[in-house]
Amino acid sequence: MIYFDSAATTLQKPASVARQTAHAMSVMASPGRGGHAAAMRAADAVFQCRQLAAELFAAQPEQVCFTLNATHGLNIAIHSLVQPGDRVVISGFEHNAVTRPLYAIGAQTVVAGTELFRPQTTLEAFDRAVTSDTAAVIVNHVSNVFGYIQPIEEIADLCRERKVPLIVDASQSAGALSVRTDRLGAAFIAMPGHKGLYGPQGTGLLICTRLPKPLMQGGTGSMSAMQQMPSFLPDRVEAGTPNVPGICGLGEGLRYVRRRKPETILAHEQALKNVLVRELAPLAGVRLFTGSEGTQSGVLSFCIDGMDCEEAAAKLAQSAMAVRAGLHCAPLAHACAGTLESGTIRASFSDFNTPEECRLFARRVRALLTEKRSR
Amino acid sequence: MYVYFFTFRSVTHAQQAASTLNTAGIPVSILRTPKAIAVHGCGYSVQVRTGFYRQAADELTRHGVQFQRIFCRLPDGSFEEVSA
Repeated sequence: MIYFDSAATTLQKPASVARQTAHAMSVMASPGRGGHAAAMRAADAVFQCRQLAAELFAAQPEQVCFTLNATHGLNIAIHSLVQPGDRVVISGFEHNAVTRPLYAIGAQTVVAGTELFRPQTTLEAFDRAVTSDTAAVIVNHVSNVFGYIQPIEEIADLCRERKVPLIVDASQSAGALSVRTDRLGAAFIAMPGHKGLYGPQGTGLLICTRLPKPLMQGGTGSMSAMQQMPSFLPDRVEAGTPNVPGICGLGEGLRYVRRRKPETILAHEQALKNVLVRELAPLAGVRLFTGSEGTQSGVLSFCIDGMDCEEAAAKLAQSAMAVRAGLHCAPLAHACAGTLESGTIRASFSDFNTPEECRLFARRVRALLTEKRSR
Repeated sequence: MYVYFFTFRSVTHAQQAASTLNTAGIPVSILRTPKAIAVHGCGYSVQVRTGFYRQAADELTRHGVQFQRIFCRLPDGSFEEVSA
């Protein structure tokens, strides 16, 4: 199988991830509850994962909170900062994990930056939109649909100057681009463990530089006699038994990213994207969504004229080529790019893909075009 | 020999303390806080031997690692709170 759906989840992972996850199932109990060896083993493993994440994201270990996924983290962050009627500024490329909670809360959402691959225009839009009465700014560091790398550091500077809290959705950037709390000064940074950090599904991280509001109340193994959730991190947002096997696997994923270095991984993924672009660009009937150097990650959306995107993805799947098609849970991004009606086919790469896979994929797309013309 | 317990609000805070003290060359172990000295029901402690407790308190303070209280376990098994 050629797996080009890493923006959904990375399928190929370092072998140690599954090994550690399985190992944890048999030797690790519940951390932060008991004092016996199996509980302390679990506590140590969980803490090591926090330390690895803290090192990568320039945070303190206690600021690293484990979540189920990025959506869970984003919900905690958004519910911590936004009240009904609050004015919130978002980019035009936000995922439903951002827009749906805002809709449910009844926030007044202002969309800034709706042009693909135009960081300067995006920044100017945020400059106009972020005012002193803005309750929060929420930005997708990299669009899950188009791979557009938004000017997050400049937007963060703007938010800091205007004292407006920033939430960063690092779902597509963690593990590939620099995501540092000291540089961004963001109130919250949410990310999944199972994409660019190569951990198992069911894991995520929320880096908190301010105290969040708990989304869930329950046991934390701390301050048990009190009925309020603890007022300190990470316990405040970690009610219930954590996903210890998943966190152990995520620890291995973080070690992999540390060894390879995010910039090396990004360069590899961008190179793969460029190979595919070179192969597909000459094909009549294929519309690619590409940006200039430095504005796009290893995510490539395209359309095939006259062919339904889901149908195209299904034909590719029949040839054991995995991509995603449709709206990618980001209708706002499609609305801004003009692809709300058509959707797109999305190829998204990981550190484990190869240029040869890109060439084989392009050959199959060529074959699809030939089949379509002969009908 | 006396044993000192630095109590913490959660296991994560105790682990952060242990990591700081291990780096400073102070041997410690993490354990559940004895019920008699647990604040607000339960928590974790870092156990430090005599001879290290003042150095441990200094290291934790210097690195901004907040502990709740320090107790000394007396020979009869009871606890006495001590100052940093």
